[in-house]
Amino acid sequence: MLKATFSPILHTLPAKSRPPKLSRAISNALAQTPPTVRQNASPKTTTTSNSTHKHPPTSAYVHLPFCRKRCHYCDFPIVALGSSQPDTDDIDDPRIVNYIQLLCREIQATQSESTQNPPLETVFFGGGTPSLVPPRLVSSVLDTLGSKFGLRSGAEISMEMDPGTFDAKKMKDLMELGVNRVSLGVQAFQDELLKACGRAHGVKEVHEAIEIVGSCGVGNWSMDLISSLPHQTTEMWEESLMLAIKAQPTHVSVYDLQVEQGTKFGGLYTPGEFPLPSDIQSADFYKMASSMLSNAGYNHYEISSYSKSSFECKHNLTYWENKPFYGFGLGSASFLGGIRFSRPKKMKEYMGYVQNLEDGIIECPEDSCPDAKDMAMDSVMLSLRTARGLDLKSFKETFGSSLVHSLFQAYKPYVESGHVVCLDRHRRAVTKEQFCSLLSDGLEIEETVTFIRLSDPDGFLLSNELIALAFRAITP
Amino acid sequence: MGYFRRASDTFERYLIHFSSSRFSPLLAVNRANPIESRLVWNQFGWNYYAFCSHARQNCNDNANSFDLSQYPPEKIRNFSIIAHVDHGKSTLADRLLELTGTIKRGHGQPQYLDKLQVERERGITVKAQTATMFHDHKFQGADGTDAPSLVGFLLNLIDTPGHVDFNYEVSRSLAACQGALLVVDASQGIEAQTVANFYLAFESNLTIVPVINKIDLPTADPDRVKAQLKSMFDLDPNEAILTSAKTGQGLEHVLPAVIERVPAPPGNRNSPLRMLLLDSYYNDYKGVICHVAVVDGTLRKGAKISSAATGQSYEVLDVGIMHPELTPTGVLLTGQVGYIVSGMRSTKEARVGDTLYQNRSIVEPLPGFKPVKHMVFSGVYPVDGSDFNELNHAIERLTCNDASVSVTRESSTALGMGFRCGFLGLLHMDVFHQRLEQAGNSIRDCLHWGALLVSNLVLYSTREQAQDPDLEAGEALLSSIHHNASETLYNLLQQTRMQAPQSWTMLELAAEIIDAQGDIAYASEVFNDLLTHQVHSFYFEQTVELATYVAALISKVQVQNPAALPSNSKIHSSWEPTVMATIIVPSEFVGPVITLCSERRGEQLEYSFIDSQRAFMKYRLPLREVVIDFHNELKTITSGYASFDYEDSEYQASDLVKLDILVNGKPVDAMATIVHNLKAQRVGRDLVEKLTKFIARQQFPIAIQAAIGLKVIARETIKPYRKDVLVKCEGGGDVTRKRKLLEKQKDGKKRMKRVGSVDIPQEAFHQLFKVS
Repeated sequence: MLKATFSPILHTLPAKSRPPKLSRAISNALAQTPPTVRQNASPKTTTTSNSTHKHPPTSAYVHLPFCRKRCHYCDFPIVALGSSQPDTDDIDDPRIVNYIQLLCREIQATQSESTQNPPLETVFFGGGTPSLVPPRLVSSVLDTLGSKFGLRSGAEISMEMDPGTFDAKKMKDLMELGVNRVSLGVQAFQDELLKACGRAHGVKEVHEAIEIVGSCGVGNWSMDLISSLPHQTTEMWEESLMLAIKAQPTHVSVYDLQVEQGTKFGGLYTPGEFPLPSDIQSADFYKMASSMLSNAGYNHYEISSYSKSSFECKHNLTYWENKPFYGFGLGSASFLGGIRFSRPKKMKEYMGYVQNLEDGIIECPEDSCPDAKDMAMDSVMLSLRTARGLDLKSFKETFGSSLVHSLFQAYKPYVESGHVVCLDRHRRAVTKEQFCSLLSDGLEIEETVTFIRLSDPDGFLLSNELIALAFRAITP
Repeated sequence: MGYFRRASDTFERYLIHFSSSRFSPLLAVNRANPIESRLVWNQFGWNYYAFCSHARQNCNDNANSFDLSQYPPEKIRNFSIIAHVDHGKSTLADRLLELTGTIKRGHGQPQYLDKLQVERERGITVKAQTATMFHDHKFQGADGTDAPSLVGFLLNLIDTPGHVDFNYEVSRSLAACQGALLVVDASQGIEAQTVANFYLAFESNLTIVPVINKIDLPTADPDRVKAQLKSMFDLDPNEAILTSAKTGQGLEHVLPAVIERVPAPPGNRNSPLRMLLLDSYYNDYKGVICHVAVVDGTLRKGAKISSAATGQSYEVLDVGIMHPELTPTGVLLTGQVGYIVSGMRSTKEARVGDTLYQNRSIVEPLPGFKPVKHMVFSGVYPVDGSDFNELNHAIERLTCNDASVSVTRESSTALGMGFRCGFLGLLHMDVFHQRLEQAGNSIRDCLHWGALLVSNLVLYSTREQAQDPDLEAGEALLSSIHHNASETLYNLLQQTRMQAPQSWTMLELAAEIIDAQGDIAYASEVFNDLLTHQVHSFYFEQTVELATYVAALISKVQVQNPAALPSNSKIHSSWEPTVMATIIVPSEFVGPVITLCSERRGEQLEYSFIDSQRAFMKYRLPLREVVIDFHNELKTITSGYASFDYEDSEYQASDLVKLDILVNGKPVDAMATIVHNLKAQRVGRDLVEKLTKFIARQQFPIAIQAAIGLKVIARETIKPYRKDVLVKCEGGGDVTRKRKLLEKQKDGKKRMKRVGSVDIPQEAFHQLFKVS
């Protein structure tokens, strides 16, 4: 195994000729100096690298994989505990305890540039069902994070919580630990739908949970809903949206059911076919959510996210702004120094990974070598998900104006059809006519159009196609 | 000859007669017992040594030392074999080659002369091939009692394609022949191409030797065929030779019949050298190889020859015969057919039909051939624009050996750079397409470019509103000049036999003048005609005058690509090419065939019965109607019993319209087509409907329309898809995964052609005008 100290020798080697088992200390991946093997492997990167990568990470995702049972649509790395497990504070499930220990070891073993790194500004406990983890154990994770990276006071600490997995006491305990944002996995307000998708709770628990969150005074909470569930009708969806608005969360996430292979739903249903709604119906669901929530004062600030003013999920914005973040825990992904890396999804392998990390050796992910085009694609893909859109000015600075121009060319028909909206520096829309006449003049259009975004809801609804088009403009 | 006349009808009698007449000593043993003799035949198959005709056994030993001077014209016979497809032409050729020891039985591949891969795959002959055979013929004494004398003959066999598309190959071959074996399948009888080929040979004044083949088949009915030969062609049934090329039965009569019935080549040994260029192809090692027929004089290796068409001179580097491969002889004498290698750089220099003559001698050029007429045009585009050069290369290589394909570059907004190729007919197009794909295969393992046959019409002329008040005169001139130009001029020349010094400059001037009228296609056509017919200055001026006048009077557009035709209807009248179709069907199918032909705008010209069971019909049909699916349809409605053939015929005025296909209001040039007004509605609906199946839903509604000018006659809308969004994208793992999905989606678009904002898959172009 090669140690990181050898990395300068490899300086001149082209990326592809690396020995496949080349290893490095992960600490080096995080450090900006001396440069890591990876960063050196593609010299282009350093010159074109988006400035956001150079910022030290201030966000951490922590995966808490435990669930009582697996939902029928879920393909996340989770650990199903089984419903028979008594949920008491006294006897912690050893599986949870062991995992938390492992998780803390991972955090510990991850070396940060302690002197320079600013403290964490967001922490997100995702799952799984993080609310199944006893607050005592959550506390140890937060402590480890705090001692390791520092935790800014007032940092956004979110936790995904499922109805029926917590009471007021647990909520209060968590709030005391610093959890200040709750993402409540409601998904639907109809028992038959909840049952059909294998959720471990009913509508009763949903209402109880909303009540607890409210009574405990969680000032910033989000409600998750899923549209396009099997047998879901327009009336049901409308009812869910109305009840969601009535509960007055500060944030709503609306996910459209994705039927994944390997899930129970994957075996049962074909997208677009009964009992799943047709794509016209599910597009209508999407539009209904967009209009009802907007009318209720929520900003549709990302394809599937709505928030009251200034209640955007700061943690998620890190992703969409293509900023670096730590990832800890089973199957979680990190984005550090321009490299996206996913941890093993199987517990055994994850344990080995943590062990290696502690031993200072870790196998490089094979194809995470960033290059300019990949980064441009990431940047486009993520920013076009948001209402803010793609900041052409910084995009141009990083990737050059020819890419911007090919984007304009690719999007011309969609600007005309209204799927894509161009904005000037004051975020005023540039009309189609204006755009077309500007397009002939390369310089002037670059001056005028500073943002490009997908329209709500039509552009958002076709975001895959539109982003794929942008990809084509970037790598023809 | 008497022997053949007396040939009896039944096999039994035939055999008795055969063995008793004069031939084989071996069979003579069986004379007394015909049954036994038949057994011998069946048991041992046939053996050419047993025949009277003594094959030249030592031909391979002294392959390079043929003394062609032993074969004066009177000992030469040039003949070809003509037949309907599958009547056994190529197999018969094999047998004759074996019989004369030119190839060994069992050696070499069957259908020896079908050299192209595509010929073997399809079992058809595409290119005419020549082979020289030597055969010793026994002449019976005048009174039948004298000892027979052996005389060596040189026979040139030219195998010809059966399909009408390759008629030009047939007529080319026939020009070097004095006789033809007309092969007819004993069970199928006369078929459409039999008729067509018969008339080709008949018009060339060839002696026709009817051969009824496949008499070994249980369904063989030679008597019926004989009766058909009599009623259709007025051929004496007694002259027919009964054979089975498969078993060898009757074959021994074929060559004697050729020698006795086919006249020797005319030609004068003492005249200056004059030879006809029959064919040319490119050989990687030797360069351009020309097949020639020496009409007069003698050709020797090292001779300096000139081309009448181009004025270029060459030195004959190699000369020889095809026996059956190139066999150098150093000399070719009057009446002989062989090959020359003369250092031509490309087959384009070797104009088929050209006259080659000794340098500095003055000869009258030979009549030459009708120029190749392209009937079907098709666009050929690489699937991926970057493969253009490769396609270009492949096409160049192919046209080296198939000069009958015309190739011009063109570009389409939908498909990019490509070629428009002109073909002699549908089969020709199909064969070319296949050869192109095979060429691509050999260049690369996988065929990155697929040739794309975009649309399929055809020479087509339109005339804009003439300013001249004398419209009728213009039309008369148009029709006389237009497609009959070559015949008209040729006839004029023949009538006057006017000879004047050649003046190529004058010809060029003519081309320029016509050119100046803005009708390049026509100019080059006339120019070619002039070249071919060696028009000399006297007629030349008249021609120029005529052409100039016509060009001034009318503005004619020849449309090879429908897209090139302006959509706005300034067209005063349009003319379309027609074909003369020959259809032979069992009588019970006459009704449906007549219905089909009238649906296809056919005009019945002739309707008769070959015999009690089979009807013979002649129709004039617009080529356009034949191109699309006619043959298939005909086969379907007649359970496969119909036989069909056609030859190109004159243009006829027709109510044609350009049918545009519009995708979201944008015309797709590669999909434009020309149809008869009455059919526009139906064709438009079909095309639009077909297209909707190939274009995937996109994010906006896609209107697919068929329109004539501004009038939309058919429309379909492809509904937009409404939702294509990956909703959740949070966390790093999601980012990587989702990007991969989107990249895949992106790659799917690569192989689409974009029209406006609509992506059209290659498949759509392929399928839309697929010719069945």
